Order: sequence, then structure tokens, then C-alpha cells
Amino acid sequence: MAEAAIASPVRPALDAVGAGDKTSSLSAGQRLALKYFLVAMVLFVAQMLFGLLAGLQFLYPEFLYGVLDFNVNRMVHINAMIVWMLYGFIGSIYWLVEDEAGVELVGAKLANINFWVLTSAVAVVVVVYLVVQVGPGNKMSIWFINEGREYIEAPRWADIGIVVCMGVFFYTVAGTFMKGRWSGISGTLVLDLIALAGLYLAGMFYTTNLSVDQYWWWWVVHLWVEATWEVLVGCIMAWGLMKTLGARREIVTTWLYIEVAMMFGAGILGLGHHYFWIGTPEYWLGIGGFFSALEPIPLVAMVVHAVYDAGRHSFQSRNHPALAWLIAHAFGNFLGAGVWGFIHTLPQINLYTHGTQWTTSHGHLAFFGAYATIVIAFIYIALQRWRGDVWMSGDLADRGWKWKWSLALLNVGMLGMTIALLIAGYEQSFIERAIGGSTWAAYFEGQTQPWFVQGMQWRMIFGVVMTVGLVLLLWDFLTIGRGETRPAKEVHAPGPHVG
Amino acid sequence: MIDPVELQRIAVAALSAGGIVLFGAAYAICLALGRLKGLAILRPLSYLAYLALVAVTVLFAWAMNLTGTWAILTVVLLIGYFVAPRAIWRLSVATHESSESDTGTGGENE
Repeated sequence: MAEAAIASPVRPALDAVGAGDKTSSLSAGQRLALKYFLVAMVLFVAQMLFGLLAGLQFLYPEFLYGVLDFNVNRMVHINAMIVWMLYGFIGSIYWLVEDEAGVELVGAKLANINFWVLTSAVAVVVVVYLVVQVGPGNKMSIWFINEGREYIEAPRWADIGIVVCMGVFFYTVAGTFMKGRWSGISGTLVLDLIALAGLYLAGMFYTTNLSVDQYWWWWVVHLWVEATWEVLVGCIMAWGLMKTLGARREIVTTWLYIEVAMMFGAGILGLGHHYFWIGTPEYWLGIGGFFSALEPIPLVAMVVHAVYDAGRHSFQSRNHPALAWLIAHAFGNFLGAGVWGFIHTLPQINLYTHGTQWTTSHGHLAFFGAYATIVIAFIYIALQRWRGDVWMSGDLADRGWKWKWSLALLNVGMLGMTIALLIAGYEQSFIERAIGGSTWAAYFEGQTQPWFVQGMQWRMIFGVVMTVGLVLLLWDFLTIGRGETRPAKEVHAPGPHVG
Repeated sequence: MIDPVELQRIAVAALSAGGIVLFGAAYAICLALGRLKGLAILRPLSYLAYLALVAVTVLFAWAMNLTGTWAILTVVLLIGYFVAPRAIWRLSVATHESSESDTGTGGENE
């Protein structure tokens, strides 16, 4: 069954990427995971490419005008990001599911077909975005070109297809756990997958009242990201910490429950900060402001746990690149979601910042810090196993310069871009919103000010830095562990630090 | 009802908000490290960080016009940032102690 699962047109591509690797030693789920990771990286490149094009159009508005307009580039940039992260999550879950359940993947063949259906649908949607772009304002466009809903533009046929594919994904994962053993991680994961699929339905219907329509649309956009994705990442991280550091299961599971409780405590009603300006009742100003303001407190408090664990145990890492990206995840999440979110979350200031480059600044760092980092870390964990469970601790053959430089360039690039966007957004909030009163004329006035223009220039420079980092990262994915003969360092659940 | 930030206070509002989270983290780190390593110097440093947090929270409340019922938020922030790290410390100690007593050095899998 495992062999059948890999016998597919993507096999040559995987063979080319992993020549000399130990593909046959992987389980069916892990082989499937590799395919998801491969597509995720292709989409990551697409995200970067279309981000660069959109960034260039801020500097040279005539660039590709009428051929590939800004709205198309931006849409593909954001959609590619959402989809590559989802592919990364799905791949990570398929990677861990058999290990966690203790049995083979249920419905491996179906899962394999599902991968192809989903990937074909994604390819068709992107081609239609790029080639057809727009259509008449009728249902045909909604069904076959673009649903017209920001961030979730996929046409209706693809929407339905996504739900079906997520259903199959859920069946294979939940079925595997039901056949094998349950754990705290798997229970949380399965419940979260129900919410993940269920919430997507909220973005699939229209109402004629725009406020009501936006109200439900935010359920997908916000609750996916700040509820279901967070929990999903918590599950993946819990498993990853056991595998890279030998952290004890009881401890990571307990903290996973605590994270879920905290998310329910502030994260769900924090949704209210999106309801400030869409025509919903005024009480959302209070609810959204209050709970959003509380969201960073658990994040800050968790610093205590990180310090406690690091200080109390003598952790030894079996995978340095993965651990470095897990640390980048902790910092990126803290800064992007915590600091950058809180500085403009209250309606008193959000009145001016909402929808400006200030928001873009927050969105970039938060998505990268909270999600991109964890997927990259997981790919390193998978690569180590794929290359034969080889040594990936310190003292690598090439001194690990590629993973270190890619880590540095991607993170410095993202931080630089975030600060550049914040400066542009500050100016925009000031000139366009606070002084200009959000008029059409003020919109253009704000975008011609030197601070905005220079902010966009610096954003472009740091975007190029990130692109170089991505090239290095992909090169490292192709080469790390190749030719390595030493086995991976043994790590055990560490006892208390003595001395 | 809200009273939007005044134009000249936008920067103060944003910087003080960032300061709250960062000083909150500084307080949490000093508190945890002080208890973990038994370093006496970190205890006053943690209180100093919390005092800085109080100062920027007051500045934040002023810049953001947190008056009336919004004043509750200021109080909740001050209490939350003080109490939450201590609660997490207790949880950390409790979870590790119970895990160690249950499993000895423990194993990765159940």
C-alpha cells in the first residue's frame, strides 16, 4: 500500500529532489507529506514573486499595468501564502499522524488522490486568476473566475472542492487515530480540524446586507488564523518539540491544553477588532477593544514557561536548523502578533490605522512569525528523517552556512520590511486618515508623501533580501544531510538539570 | 463610545502600547530567571520593569483617552501583566513536578 501511494506523477520530481535519499524507509503518510511540502515550497516561491511584483507597482505604477494589475498580483500573493501554509500544515499532520497513532495511514490511496485533486484545483484557480482575471458581474464569474471576497477569492466550484478535500483529509487523519491510539495531541488536532473545515463554510454564502456579509466573512479570515491555525500550530509544535528536544509528552500536552484555553479566553472575542468599522453595533468597539488588548498577556506570560523550561532542563537538540526556526517562531509570534497587533488594536487608534500599511506591517510579521517559521521547522524535521535520520546537530559538513544565512536573511528581510511598512503606514494614518479624513483625494495625498514613498522603497529592498534568503533556504533543503554518514544525535526526555 | 486619539498623540499611543508588551516581557523574564537561578538582583529588576510597565500604561491610557468605562481596561492590563506570569510560573512548577513524580525521568511516549 505504501508503495502504491507514492506511485504517481510527482514521484520523478521527488526523486530528483531527493536522489539518494531513503524514500523507501518512509511510511505512506510521510511520503504524502513530502508531496505537500514540495507544493508548499513552489507556492512560497510564487508568493514571493508576486509580492515583489506588487511591491514594484507601488514604486512604478505603470509597471505591468493592464497586463497584470496590482489587484491581481496582490490577490495571488496573499492566496499563495494562505495555500502554502495550509499545504505545510497538512503535510506536517500527515508526517506525524502514523507515528502518533501507531498504525498505518487509513485511506492512503484516497489521501493520495485527494492531494492530486486539491493541487490540480489550486493550479486551475491560479491560471484563471492570471489569464482570465475578471468577468461580468454575474453568477458565472462567482462560480468560475473569482468569488470577489478579499483573501478568499477562490471561485465557488473551488470552494466546494476545498471543503470536499478537507473532508477527505479529515477522514484519513481521524480514521487513523480511531484505528490506532488517541493522545492529547491527536484529540486536540481532530477537534481543531472539524473547526477548520466548519469555519470555511461561513465564507461561502452571501447576504445582501454588506455588514452582515462582512460579519460572517471575518469568521473565516480571523477565526481561521487566530483560532484554528493557532491550535493546529500548537499541536504540530508539541510533536516537534518532542522530536527535536525530547520534551516530555505529559508536559507538552498540558501546555497545549493551556494554550487552547487561553485562545478561547481572549482570541475568539478578539475577533471584535474587525467589527469596528463594518456597520456592526457600537458594543463591538468595547468587546473587540477589550479582548484584543488582553490577547498579548498570555503570550507574555508564556515567556516565563520558556525561561523555566530552558533553565531547568539540559536540552539537547537533534536538529539545529529546526530548533532555530522554532525559536524564530517564538520571537516572530511575540513581535508580530503581540507587539505589532497591540499597538493598533484599540478602536481609538485603529480608526486611523485600519487598512493602511500599518495593518500590512502587522500582517506580514505575524503571518511569517506565527506560521511560515513553524512550517519551515517541520520541513527540516522531515528532511532529517528522509535523508536517513542523519546528523543535523552542530558541526555540519559545510558548517551549516546555508541554513544559518537563509534564517538570517529571511528574518532580517521580514523585520526590515515590517519596519518600512510601519513607517509608511504611520504616515498614511496621519495624512490620509487623521488629517485628510479618508477622502479619495487624501488617499492619493498620503501615497505621494516622502515617508510613504521611501517606506515602499525600503520595503522593496528588504523584499529582495528575503528572496535571496528563500533561494538559500531551498538550496539548503536540497542539500542538507546529503552525504552525511553520522546518525542523528540521540535525545531523551531530559530530567531536571542538576547542579 | 470612543474618543479617538488626538493627532499629536498617535506616536505616543503606539509607542506606549509597544512598551506595555515589551516591559511586560522584561518583567516576566526577570521574574522567571530570578526564581530559577536564585539571583537576588533580578527581583528588584523585575519590579523595576513592572514600574516601567505601569508608567507606559498610564501614558497609554492618557494618549488613548481611556476614560469612563474604558478605564477598566487600564486596571485589567495592570493586574493581568502582574498576575499572569506568576500564575504561569506556578503552572510550570506544578506540571513539571507532577510529570517527574509520575514518570521518573519520563519517556517520550505514553
